[in-house]
Amino acid sequence: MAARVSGGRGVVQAPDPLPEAAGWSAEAGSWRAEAGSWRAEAGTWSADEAVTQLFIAQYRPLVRLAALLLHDDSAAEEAAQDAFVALHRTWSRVRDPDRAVAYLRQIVINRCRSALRRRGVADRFLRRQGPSVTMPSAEAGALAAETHDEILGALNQLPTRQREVLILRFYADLAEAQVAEAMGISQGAVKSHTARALAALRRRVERPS
Amino acid sequence: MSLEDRLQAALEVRAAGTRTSPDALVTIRGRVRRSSRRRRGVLAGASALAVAVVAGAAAVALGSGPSVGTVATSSTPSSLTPSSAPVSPPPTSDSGPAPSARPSDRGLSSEPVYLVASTSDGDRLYREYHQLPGGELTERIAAAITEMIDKAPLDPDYRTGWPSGAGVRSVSIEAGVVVVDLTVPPTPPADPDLAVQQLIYTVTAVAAQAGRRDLTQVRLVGDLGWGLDTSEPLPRAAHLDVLAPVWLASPQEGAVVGRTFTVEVQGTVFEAAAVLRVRDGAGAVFDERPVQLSAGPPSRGLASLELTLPPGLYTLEAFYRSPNDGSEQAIDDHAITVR
Repeated sequence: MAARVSGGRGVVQAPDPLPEAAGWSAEAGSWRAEAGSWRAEAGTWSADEAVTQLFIAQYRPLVRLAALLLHDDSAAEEAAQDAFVALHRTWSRVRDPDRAVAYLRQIVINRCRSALRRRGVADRFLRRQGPSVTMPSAEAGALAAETHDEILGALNQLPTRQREVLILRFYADLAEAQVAEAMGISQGAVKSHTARALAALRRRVERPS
Repeated sequence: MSLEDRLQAALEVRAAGTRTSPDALVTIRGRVRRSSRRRRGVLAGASALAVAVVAGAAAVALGSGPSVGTVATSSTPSSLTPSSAPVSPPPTSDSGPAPSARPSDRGLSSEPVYLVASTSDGDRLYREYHQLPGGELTERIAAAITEMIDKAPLDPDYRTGWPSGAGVRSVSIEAGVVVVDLTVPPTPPADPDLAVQQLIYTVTAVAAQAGRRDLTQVRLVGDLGWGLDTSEPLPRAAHLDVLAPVWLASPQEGAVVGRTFTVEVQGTVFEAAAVLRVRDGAGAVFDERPVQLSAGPPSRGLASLELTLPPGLYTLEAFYRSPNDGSEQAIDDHAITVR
């Protein structure tokens, strides 16, 4: 699977993690702050401990990422759980929280791709697009909700890779190199997918309805 | 607002509305254990587990307990008699993740659900507490039966004794008897008698927990065509015949507890002598000690111990030693996290 290999190297051996790799922008501020002490401890974690610690910090962000990719909360949880089960198997080779987060993300993206393939992507998306299903809304306000609906509706009509790129850049707040690693594509491809995706999104949301 | 900002805001709002299950970590651990067992080729079922996870419950006063690794034991009188008295949930108000009989703020209440697992004595019943919607007693009984039949047990060694496709049509209380109207597939399960006892124990435990200890009999109506005589109300079978010899009643699988917490063991074992073993996250034995239950056979005895452990992952194992050859029997083990 493409996403398991980045630049011809195994996922878990990639050198020099970027500083951001430890966490997610919106979610893991506290974890990122503590990541230094985690790194010191993490080398001694058993697989069970690694799963527990990473679950506490990363489960919700991963489910949210999967939910954005899948539009199905329970399938999103399944994808995230698959990732933790896989991490347990490979922890002896990972042994690093930064690596582990990148690895979890890759597994989630792969599982989401598989899930989308299984259920026949495009039309299922359209059926699931009702605002009442996808928008939490309560505090968002009607106008904001409408705007969000519009842009998410447009996002979900994009091809899979373009959607992934936008979600990883603008929700997960990953750098280009991290998006490339997560998606198993080159940084050049990330750039071009991003440019094409934003152009397509702009056309869709700025088109008079 | 730029397109990128709008996209970011929309994604954040959408993501924030995503719900996650409170049992997710338990689910993951269960899957890990199942896949580990498959890889190791270990037979599941040798250690059947009693489980109930009440997410987030921990709450034992920290700092006031004995020093790390020490255990204080106190046996409490058994509330059980040899034959058919309901095995009501013992008092567990101070035992970590022990369930509360009262509905929580969210309208959920912790209800006993009996499940089947294999032991050296054959299939036996274990008990889990599940968070279920509150309501009238009959609604709570119906919800517990549905949970027992349909929902995956928290512990991977557990299963229901009921075939898929079974369900509850209605529950009523008539003249001191709980009447359960069931729809069941025609093919009987492997052990219809144990399945029926699984249901009767569940129903009467839910009733007892609600204060209706008088409801000790269940009449089954509907299309239960498994060759059982269900024309009369049925009581619980003797606990010696259907309950597992040892339960690690609390804490439950997946529980997250404070450093000092209460362990509760129940069972019917030779000379009331059970054993509690604590393994650390790597599986090494951290502590092992005898646990004297409050009563021996034919009664079901109880014991509660206060345990203080350093933060980390542990597996607690309760079992008894065979009087014949000293072998460990009926191991009931729970993986827990000490904060």
